[in-house]
Amino acid sequence: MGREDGVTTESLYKQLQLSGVLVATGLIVEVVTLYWAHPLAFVAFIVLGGTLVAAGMLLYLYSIVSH
Amino acid sequence: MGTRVLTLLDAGLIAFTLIAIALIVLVALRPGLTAARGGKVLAFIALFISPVVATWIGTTNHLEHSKTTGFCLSCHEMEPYGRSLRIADGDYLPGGHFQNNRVPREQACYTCHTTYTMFGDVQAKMHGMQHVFVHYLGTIPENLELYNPYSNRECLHCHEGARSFEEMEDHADVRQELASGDTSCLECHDLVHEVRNLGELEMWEGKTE
Repeated sequence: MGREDGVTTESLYKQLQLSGVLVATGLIVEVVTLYWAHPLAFVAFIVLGGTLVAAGMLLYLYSIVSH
Repeated sequence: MGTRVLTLLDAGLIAFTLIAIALIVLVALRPGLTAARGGKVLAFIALFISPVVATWIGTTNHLEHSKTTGFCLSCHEMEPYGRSLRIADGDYLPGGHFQNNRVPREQACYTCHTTYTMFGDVQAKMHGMQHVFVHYLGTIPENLELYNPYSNRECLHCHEGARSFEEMEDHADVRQELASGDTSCLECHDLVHEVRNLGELEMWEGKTE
Protein backbone atom coordinates (compact mmCIF):
# COMPACT_ATOMS: atom_id res chain seq x y z
CA MET A 1 0.00 0.00 0.00
CA GLY A 2 2.83 2.35 1.03
CA ARG A 3 4.78 1.47 -2.12
CA GLU A 4 1.72 2.18 -4.29
CA ASP A 5 1.36 5.59 -2.62
CA GLY A 6 5.02 6.30 -3.34
CA VAL A 7 4.64 5.37 -7.00
CA THR A 8 1.51 7.51 -7.31
CA THR A 9 3.21 10.49 -5.70
CA GLU A 10 6.24 10.08 -7.91
CA SER A 11 4.01 9.94 -10.99
CA LEU A 12 2.17 13.09 -9.83
CA TYR A 13 5.45 14.91 -9.35
CA LYS A 14 6.64 13.91 -12.81
CA GLN A 15 3.42 15.14 -14.37
CA LEU A 16 3.70 18.42 -12.44
CA GLN A 17 7.25 18.85 -13.65
CA LEU A 18 6.32 18.11 -17.25
CA SER A 19 3.37 20.50 -17.12
CA GLY A 20 5.71 23.11 -15.60
CA VAL A 21 8.17 22.68 -18.46
CA LEU A 22 5.38 23.00 -21.05
CA VAL A 23 3.78 26.08 -19.46
CA ALA A 24 7.13 27.79 -18.83
CA THR A 25 8.29 27.14 -22.42
CA GLY A 26 4.98 28.46 -23.74
CA LEU A 27 5.26 31.60 -21.61
CA ILE A 28 8.85 32.17 -22.79
CA VAL A 29 7.64 31.91 -26.41
CA GLU A 30 4.83 34.36 -25.63
CA VAL A 31 7.23 36.87 -24.06
CA VAL A 32 9.65 36.64 -26.99
CA THR A 33 6.84 37.36 -29.47
CA LEU A 34 6.08 40.61 -27.60
CA TYR A 35 9.44 41.96 -28.79
CA TRP A 36 8.87 40.96 -32.41
CA ALA A 37 7.21 43.53 -34.70
CA HIS A 38 5.84 41.24 -37.38
CA PRO A 39 2.46 39.61 -38.17
CA LEU A 40 4.10 36.21 -37.68
CA ALA A 41 4.64 37.16 -34.02
CA PHE A 42 0.93 36.79 -33.33
CA VAL A 43 0.80 33.45 -35.14
CA ALA A 44 3.78 32.23 -33.08
CA PHE A 45 2.14 33.59 -29.92
CA ILE A 46 -1.10 31.69 -30.50
CA VAL A 47 0.00 28.57 -32.33
CA LEU A 48 3.25 27.84 -30.52
CA GLY A 49 3.00 29.65 -27.19
CA GLY A 50 -0.73 29.12 -26.73
CA THR A 51 -0.54 25.42 -27.58
CA LEU A 52 2.35 24.78 -25.18
CA VAL A 53 0.63 26.71 -22.37
CA ALA A 54 -2.70 24.95 -23.00
CA ALA A 55 -1.04 21.53 -23.10
CA GLY A 56 0.79 22.23 -19.83
CA MET A 57 -2.34 23.49 -18.12
CA LEU A 58 -4.38 20.49 -19.26
CA LEU A 59 -1.68 18.10 -18.06
CA TYR A 60 -1.64 19.89 -14.70
CA LEU A 61 -5.44 19.65 -14.37
CA TYR A 62 -5.33 15.97 -15.39
CA SER A 63 -2.60 15.27 -12.84
CA ILE A 64 -4.55 16.77 -9.93
CA VAL A 65 -7.82 15.01 -10.75
CA SER A 66 -6.20 11.65 -11.46
CA HIS A 67 -4.24 11.36 -8.21
CA MET B 1 13.99 40.87 -37.48
CA GLY B 2 12.09 44.04 -36.48
CA THR B 3 11.65 44.73 -32.81
CA ARG B 4 8.87 46.59 -31.06
CA VAL B 5 9.12 49.60 -28.83
CA LEU B 6 7.76 48.30 -25.55
CA THR B 7 5.14 50.23 -23.61
CA LEU B 8 4.65 50.30 -19.86
CA LEU B 9 1.91 47.67 -20.27
CA ASP B 10 4.33 45.44 -22.21
CA ALA B 11 6.92 45.83 -19.46
CA GLY B 12 4.31 44.96 -16.81
CA LEU B 13 3.22 41.89 -18.75
CA ILE B 14 6.82 40.74 -19.18
CA ALA B 15 7.49 41.23 -15.45
CA PHE B 16 4.31 39.30 -14.58
CA THR B 17 5.25 36.48 -16.94
CA LEU B 18 8.78 36.24 -15.56
CA ILE B 19 7.39 35.99 -12.00
CA ALA B 20 5.00 33.27 -13.22
CA ILE B 21 7.92 31.39 -14.80
CA ALA B 22 9.89 31.68 -11.53
CA LEU B 23 6.94 30.18 -9.61
CA ILE B 24 6.64 27.37 -12.17
CA VAL B 25 10.36 26.60 -11.88
CA LEU B 26 9.98 26.50 -8.09
CA VAL B 27 7.08 24.02 -8.34
CA ALA B 28 8.90 21.93 -10.95
CA LEU B 29 12.13 21.75 -8.96
CA ARG B 30 10.41 21.09 -5.63
CA PRO B 31 7.16 19.26 -6.45
CA GLY B 32 7.11 18.01 -2.85
CA LEU B 33 5.83 21.47 -1.90
CA THR B 34 2.44 20.47 -3.32
CA ALA B 35 1.96 17.94 -0.51
CA ALA B 36 0.97 20.84 1.75
CA ARG B 37 -2.13 22.98 1.26
CA GLY B 38 -0.08 26.13 0.61
CA GLY B 39 1.95 24.28 -2.02
CA LYS B 40 -1.23 23.15 -3.79
CA VAL B 41 -2.41 26.76 -3.95
CA LEU B 42 1.02 27.86 -5.20
CA ALA B 43 0.96 25.19 -7.95
CA PHE B 44 -2.57 26.20 -8.98
CA ILE B 45 -1.53 29.85 -9.23
CA ALA B 46 1.71 29.00 -11.08
CA LEU B 47 0.37 26.39 -13.49
CA PHE B 48 -3.16 27.60 -14.11
CA ILE B 49 -4.03 31.14 -12.98
CA SER B 50 -0.87 32.95 -14.08
CA PRO B 51 -0.62 31.34 -17.58
CA VAL B 52 -4.30 32.14 -18.24
CA VAL B 53 -3.79 35.78 -17.17
CA ALA B 54 -0.50 36.14 -19.09
CA THR B 55 -1.96 34.61 -22.26
CA TRP B 56 -5.13 36.71 -22.02
CA ILE B 57 -3.22 39.99 -21.60
CA GLY B 58 -0.71 38.93 -24.25
CA THR B 59 -3.51 38.24 -26.75
CA THR B 60 -5.06 41.65 -26.05
CA ASN B 61 -1.64 43.23 -26.43
CA HIS B 62 -1.02 41.55 -29.80
CA LEU B 63 -4.48 42.52 -31.04
CA GLU B 64 -3.88 46.16 -30.08
CA HIS B 65 -0.48 46.11 -31.75
CA SER B 66 -1.99 44.67 -34.93
CA LYS B 67 -4.00 47.90 -35.31
CA THR B 68 -0.85 49.96 -35.75
CA THR B 69 0.30 51.33 -39.10
CA GLY B 70 3.77 49.90 -38.47
CA PHE B 71 2.31 46.42 -38.09
CA CYS B 72 0.46 46.60 -41.43
CA LEU B 73 3.49 47.98 -43.23
CA SER B 74 5.86 45.39 -41.76
CA CYS B 75 5.04 43.13 -44.72
CA HIS B 76 6.84 44.42 -47.81
CA GLU B 77 3.72 43.84 -49.94
CA MET B 78 2.12 46.74 -48.08
CA GLU B 79 5.05 49.11 -48.61
CA PRO B 80 3.54 50.94 -51.65
CA TYR B 81 0.30 51.40 -49.72
CA GLY B 82 2.31 52.98 -46.90
CA ARG B 83 4.07 55.27 -49.37
CA SER B 84 0.72 56.27 -50.85
CA LEU B 85 -0.09 57.88 -47.49
CA ARG B 86 2.49 60.50 -48.47
CA ILE B 87 1.01 61.51 -51.82
CA ALA B 88 1.14 65.30 -51.55
CA ASP B 89 -2.09 65.97 -53.46
CA GLY B 90 -4.76 66.18 -50.77
CA ASP B 91 -7.43 64.95 -53.19
CA TYR B 92 -6.04 61.45 -52.72
CA LEU B 93 -8.08 60.17 -49.79
CA PRO B 94 -5.49 58.11 -47.87
CA GLY B 95 -2.80 60.80 -48.02
CA GLY B 96 -5.26 63.61 -47.31
CA HIS B 97 -6.52 61.83 -44.22
CA PHE B 98 -3.09 60.69 -42.99
CA GLN B 99 -1.21 63.96 -43.48
CA ASN B 100 -3.94 66.14 -41.98
CA ASN B 101 -4.50 63.93 -38.93
CA ARG B 102 -8.05 63.10 -39.98
CA VAL B 103 -7.13 59.59 -38.92
CA PRO B 104 -4.68 58.78 -36.12
CA ARG B 105 -1.38 58.24 -37.92
CA GLU B 106 -0.35 55.37 -35.70
CA GLN B 107 -3.56 53.51 -36.64
CA ALA B 108 -4.06 54.87 -40.16
CA CYS B 109 -4.72 51.54 -41.94
CA TYR B 110 -7.01 50.13 -39.27
CA THR B 111 -9.13 53.30 -39.00
CA CYS B 112 -10.30 52.97 -42.61
CA HIS B 113 -10.15 49.17 -42.90
CA THR B 114 -11.82 48.15 -39.63
CA THR B 115 -13.09 44.77 -40.78
CA TYR B 116 -9.89 43.67 -42.47
CA THR B 117 -8.39 40.26 -41.50
CA MET B 118 -7.88 40.11 -37.72
CA PHE B 119 -10.80 42.39 -36.86
CA GLY B 120 -13.31 41.06 -39.34
CA ASP B 121 -15.56 38.02 -39.21
CA VAL B 122 -14.31 34.44 -39.21
CA GLN B 123 -13.85 34.49 -42.98
CA ALA B 124 -11.78 37.69 -42.75
CA LYS B 125 -9.60 36.12 -40.05
CA MET B 126 -9.07 33.08 -42.27
CA HIS B 127 -8.01 35.47 -45.04
CA GLY B 128 -5.47 36.94 -42.62
CA MET B 129 -3.99 33.50 -41.97
CA GLN B 130 -3.98 32.88 -45.71
CA HIS B 131 -1.99 36.11 -46.22
CA VAL B 132 0.68 34.88 -43.80
CA PHE B 133 0.81 31.54 -45.62
CA VAL B 134 1.07 33.18 -49.06
CA HIS B 135 3.68 35.65 -47.79
CA TYR B 136 6.05 32.83 -46.84
CA LEU B 137 5.10 29.89 -49.04
CA GLY B 138 2.92 31.10 -51.88
CA THR B 139 3.02 33.40 -54.86
CA ILE B 140 2.11 36.98 -54.06
CA PRO B 141 -0.34 38.40 -56.64
CA GLU B 142 0.91 41.37 -58.63
CA ASN B 143 -2.25 43.34 -57.95
CA LEU B 144 -3.62 43.29 -54.43
CA GLU B 145 -7.35 43.82 -54.18
CA LEU B 146 -9.90 43.93 -51.38
CA TYR B 147 -12.03 40.81 -51.10
CA ASN B 148 -15.23 42.88 -51.00
CA PRO B 149 -16.08 46.33 -52.38
CA TYR B 150 -15.02 49.07 -49.98
CA SER B 151 -17.90 49.63 -47.57
CA ASN B 152 -19.38 53.11 -46.97
CA ARG B 153 -19.50 52.17 -43.30
CA GLU B 154 -15.74 52.79 -43.14
CA CYS B 155 -16.33 56.43 -44.16
CA LEU B 156 -19.60 57.03 -42.36
CA HIS B 157 -18.43 55.87 -38.95
CA CYS B 158 -16.49 59.16 -38.83
CA HIS B 159 -18.21 61.44 -41.36
CA GLU B 160 -21.86 60.74 -40.58
CA GLY B 161 -23.13 63.55 -38.38
CA ALA B 162 -20.16 65.79 -39.18
CA ARG B 163 -21.19 69.27 -40.29
CA SER B 164 -18.86 69.18 -43.31
CA PHE B 165 -20.59 66.01 -44.47
CA GLU B 166 -24.19 66.79 -43.53
CA GLU B 167 -24.31 70.32 -44.99
CA MET B 168 -22.81 69.44 -48.35
CA GLU B 169 -25.54 69.57 -51.02
CA ASP B 170 -24.06 66.75 -53.08
CA HIS B 171 -24.35 64.45 -50.08
CA ALA B 172 -27.97 65.44 -49.37
CA ASP B 173 -29.03 64.13 -52.78
CA VAL B 174 -27.64 60.64 -52.13
CA ARG B 175 -28.01 60.34 -48.36
CA GLN B 176 -30.24 57.24 -48.53
CA GLU B 177 -28.14 55.54 -51.18
CA LEU B 178 -24.97 56.14 -49.18
CA ALA B 179 -26.55 54.74 -46.02
CA SER B 180 -27.83 51.64 -47.80
CA GLY B 181 -24.63 51.14 -49.78
CA ASP B 182 -26.39 51.43 -53.13
CA THR B 183 -24.02 54.29 -53.96
CA SER B 184 -20.38 54.00 -52.97
CA CYS B 185 -18.53 56.97 -51.51
CA LEU B 186 -15.72 56.04 -53.91
CA GLU B 187 -17.92 56.74 -56.92
CA CYS B 188 -17.14 60.43 -56.40
CA HIS B 189 -14.07 60.24 -54.11
CA ASP B 190 -12.21 57.89 -56.41
CA LEU B 191 -8.58 58.88 -55.78
CA VAL B 192 -7.32 56.31 -53.33
CA HIS B 193 -4.00 54.49 -52.85
CA GLU B 194 -2.90 54.73 -56.49
CA VAL B 195 0.07 52.41 -55.93
CA ARG B 196 0.73 51.88 -59.64
CA ASN B 197 1.64 55.52 -60.30
CA LEU B 198 3.52 56.42 -57.13
CA GLY B 199 6.68 57.26 -59.03
CA GLU B 200 4.89 59.98 -60.99
CA LEU B 201 3.28 61.68 -58.01
CA GLU B 202 4.75 64.31 -55.74
CA MET B 203 5.31 63.07 -52.21
CA TRP B 204 4.96 64.87 -48.88
CA GLU B 205 8.25 64.78 -46.99
CA GLY B 206 6.92 65.94 -43.62
CA LYS B 207 7.71 64.10 -40.41
CA THR B 208 4.98 62.02 -38.83
CA GLU B 209 6.51 61.31 -35.41
